[in-house]
Amino acid sequence: MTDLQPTVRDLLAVDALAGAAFVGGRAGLDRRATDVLVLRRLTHPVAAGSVVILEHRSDSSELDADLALRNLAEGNGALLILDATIASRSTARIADMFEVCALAVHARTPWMLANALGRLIHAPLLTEAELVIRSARTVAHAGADPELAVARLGGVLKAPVSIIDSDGTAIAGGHEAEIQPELLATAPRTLPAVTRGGLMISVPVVLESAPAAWLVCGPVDAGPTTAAATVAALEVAGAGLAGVFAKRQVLAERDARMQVALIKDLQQMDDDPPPQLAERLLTAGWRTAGWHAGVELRLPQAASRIPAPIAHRVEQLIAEHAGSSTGTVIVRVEDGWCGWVTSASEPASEWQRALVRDVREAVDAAAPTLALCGGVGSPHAGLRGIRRTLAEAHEAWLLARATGSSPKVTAVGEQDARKLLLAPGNQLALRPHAESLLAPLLDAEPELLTTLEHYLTAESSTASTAASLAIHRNTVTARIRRAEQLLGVDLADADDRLAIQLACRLLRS
Amino acid sequence: MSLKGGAVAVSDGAQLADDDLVIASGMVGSPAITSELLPTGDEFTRAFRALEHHLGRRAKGVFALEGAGVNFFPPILVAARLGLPLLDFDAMGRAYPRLDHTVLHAAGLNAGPLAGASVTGEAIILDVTDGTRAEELARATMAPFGGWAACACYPLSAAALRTNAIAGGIARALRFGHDADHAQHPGELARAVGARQLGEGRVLEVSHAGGGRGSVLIASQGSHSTLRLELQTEYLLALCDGAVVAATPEPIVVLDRHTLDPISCESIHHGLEVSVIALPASAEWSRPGPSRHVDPQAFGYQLGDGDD
Repeated sequence: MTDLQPTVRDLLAVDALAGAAFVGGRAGLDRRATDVLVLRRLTHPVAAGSVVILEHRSDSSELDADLALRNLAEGNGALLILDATIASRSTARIADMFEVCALAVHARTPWMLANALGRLIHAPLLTEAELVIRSARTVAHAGADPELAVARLGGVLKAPVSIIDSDGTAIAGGHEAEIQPELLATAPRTLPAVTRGGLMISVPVVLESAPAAWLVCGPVDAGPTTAAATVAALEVAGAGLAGVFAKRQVLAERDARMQVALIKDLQQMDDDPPPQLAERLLTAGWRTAGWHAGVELRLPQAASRIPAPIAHRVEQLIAEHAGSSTGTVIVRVEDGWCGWVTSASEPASEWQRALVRDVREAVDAAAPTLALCGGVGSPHAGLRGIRRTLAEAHEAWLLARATGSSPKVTAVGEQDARKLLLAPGNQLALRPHAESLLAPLLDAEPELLTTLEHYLTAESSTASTAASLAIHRNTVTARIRRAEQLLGVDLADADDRLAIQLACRLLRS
Repeated sequence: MSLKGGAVAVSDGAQLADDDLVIASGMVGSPAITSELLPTGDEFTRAFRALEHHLGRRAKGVFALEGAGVNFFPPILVAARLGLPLLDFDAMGRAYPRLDHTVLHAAGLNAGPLAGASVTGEAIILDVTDGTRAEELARATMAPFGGWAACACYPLSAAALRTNAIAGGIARALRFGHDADHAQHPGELARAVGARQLGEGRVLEVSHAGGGRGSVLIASQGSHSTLRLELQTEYLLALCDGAVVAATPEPIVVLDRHTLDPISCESIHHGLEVSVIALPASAEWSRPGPSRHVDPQAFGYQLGDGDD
């Protein structure tokens, strides 16, 4: 008897037993099967490990079933298969009592069944080879579609199959069963399923000598033979899927390189763009028609990289936020993104402000811990407009990086005041003016200044200010009113507001 | 023993001359039908007299076709009505469904000529060669007779009766009745009558396959064992978890576990709490020749490797 010797559990997976009903003796599922016999009746103990198929005849009775089961149990047999018409409650009770499985079938062709079971019992490798070949074909025929591949593989292996990444997330296929972290190992793993019976079987999908993902199958009610065959089948399928993923990776890298080169060429083109540039844009699917606002979103240090899940999330959010636009081009560069958002017609100034806000929200939502800085250019039309707005976005990004504080995303329109403030000479010169302007607040109540700063940063939103300071909005309103009184200004007036905000920034710089 | 119509003298037949005629009395057909097609009371004597008339001789004694069940009573009735001695002999030593399930048939004695009488007042004589033909022909008359008939059969010499029939059935029945009356529980009764206890429990399922065939499943109390009884008008085979624990010709008796009343194949039903015992088979059946007439295989049960 070898490790590959199938158990009753393995036999149940044989197609010929697909319609069989369990009569009793589930506790005997792990008995090893060594032989299969077809008998009219079983009136003497059989050899250990025997699988007996009771041939059905017109005079077969429930009595025959009971006698057979008793004799099978006494010989330490593995399984009794009988016709459903002679399976009674006593058969079930005896099967349970002796922990010997009894199965009821409707087939009146015992020899075909015996042949199918005998093949697994006497030549388990043959069954394994068959499963491996079917799995390999399934993956090959699914082409480059992993979703289709795992769906069909599930049919072959008679259990759910999915592709799981290192976080335990399904890349293809869905798994209701819990995926234990231990399954995601460098070698095939077989573990008991957590929430219900059966096994979870995993094999790594290896790309560049390391697991890039895992093929996970289960829960599958498998004995040792079926489990071994499933592992072999998954390994072959995994190799096929590794090829699919490698090809995808190569194509994606090629596309990315092409897009980065195109963005660079756009940034560097002169006033008379070469004709092949337009053709390359067309090939990339990038529209030049319409009004474009450049976006540059990068880490302050060029050497750092953005983790893949965060990058994916930022891209997703920007695409969502740019919903009111007719198109978005966002290209992943080494340390961030470059691109633009397009509007079909000349947009109102509100459009750009909304874009800035959206990009800010995307950065805050997806990468609150990353020191991402962003710049947004003003809208310009056509191909040359793209070059111009990209340049503006870059300038804005440089400025955002220089300030290093909130807001992390700035627009080109916001730059004038900042330039004034941030030029080193100006800061020194204007600081005394700022101090004198804000003196009433400095002398009186310091929290009024803090509230005022937040209020102006939050674009005069009482609600946002209240949230960021964790105070009631009525308190914000009261403090702003008091600050206006003390300073003798009206913050609804644009000039007053600009002067006060400049002074606040200067004082903090 | 006394009965309306006169006292009945139970006899061991010793007083009979060897060539005196003796006749068995009983009924053929379904005992259950007698509760709908009620006996008039004179069928048994009419059948008896019809056979005497056919043979041209008067009988000197009456004995029982079966030593158990409903057929225990007709010879008592005949003995009382006709003033004959009730011979303490019977042809089966227990109850069986057929006229050829007798030690007399096994010994080569003819069941015929046989006289049948029905509640309709009609009678027939079956002049047959053996018990098997008697069974076949008698069975064929059951439908027009309404399902059952009184019969007089196995006309024998007193010497043949003494040599071949099973003696002492009446004495044993009286003893069992007495023991049953005094026993407090099935174990006590089994011990008193020398029976083996096969199991106790609740009836899980009763299935009837037609022709009086069927099976009863009993779930043992206190264990997961299952007792299966196979029946053909009588309980013929008992298996505990697939292993044979009692088989015909051993009489298998199902008792109400609480009242110790016997429960017939017709009245057993789901949910009853029963105790099953097996009485020793009559010595006459244990010899190899006779036993093949009533062993499980004779009833169609294949318990061995026979190439059927």
